[in-house]
Amino acid sequence: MKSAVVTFPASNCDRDMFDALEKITGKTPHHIWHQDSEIPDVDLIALPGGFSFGDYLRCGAMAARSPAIKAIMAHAERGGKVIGVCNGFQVLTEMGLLPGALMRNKSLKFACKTVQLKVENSNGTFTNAYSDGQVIDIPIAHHDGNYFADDEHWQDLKRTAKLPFVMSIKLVKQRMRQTPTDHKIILPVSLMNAAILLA
Amino acid sequence: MKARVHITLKNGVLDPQGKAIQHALDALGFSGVDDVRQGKYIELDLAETDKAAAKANVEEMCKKLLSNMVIENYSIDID
Repeated sequence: MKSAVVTFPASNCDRDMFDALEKITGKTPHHIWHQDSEIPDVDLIALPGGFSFGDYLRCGAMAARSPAIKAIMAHAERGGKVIGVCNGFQVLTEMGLLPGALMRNKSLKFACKTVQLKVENSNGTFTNAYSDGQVIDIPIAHHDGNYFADDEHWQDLKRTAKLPFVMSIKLVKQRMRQTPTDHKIILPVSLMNAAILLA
Repeated sequence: MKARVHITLKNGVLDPQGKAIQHALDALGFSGVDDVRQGKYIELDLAETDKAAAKANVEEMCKKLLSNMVIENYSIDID
């Protein structure tokens, strides 16, 4: 599998993402700078987390208007795979590739812990090594992870089975014995972690 | 020419920061504050001299960058 990692000013863990992809795929990923308007022909484009452009205005807002974004959109429209981790996911919503938006956590606190996700649809590209209903552990670390979509998009996500993972609040309560986080859902949060676990 | 842009959260979108402000006001003894919604204020100095053209231009800015239409509304004042 050929891949590319896009770095924005103030991205972080992009190097980890690069190393993980190299280890798993056996091929060196392309390094893409946000000002590059062309991305080589790859199977997967990965957007790392961090605090692109200092989180100014809204998280991911500036990054979503970078020259590299057009190439990412074109790649997605051709059926290419894209994954955004953390701030990378915020960029994907800000650029309009994914519906909804990520807002400030309801608690107003930075959330850093391991959460349990239930695999809702194991037919997806990012979930097909799991089975339906399987519960997996995923680490989270964010201040703006409160996913919001209006009713229309929310119903569409549920109806078309586009939700690969659903956060299991019951399981969180059982296992963690704490109150759940704000997440209603977490879409492909972390292929890196999932892929490393499977490797 | 100056443009003043207010970005506010849409009705129905949860505003935890607004809620925190409301609680803080209550704790300070300011009773009777039924709800608080917070937002952003952006001031732009424009070279444009035509008011209608300036407004149209700022409207584009709001749609493309300044606001996220999924969760936010904007209003523009030009003078």
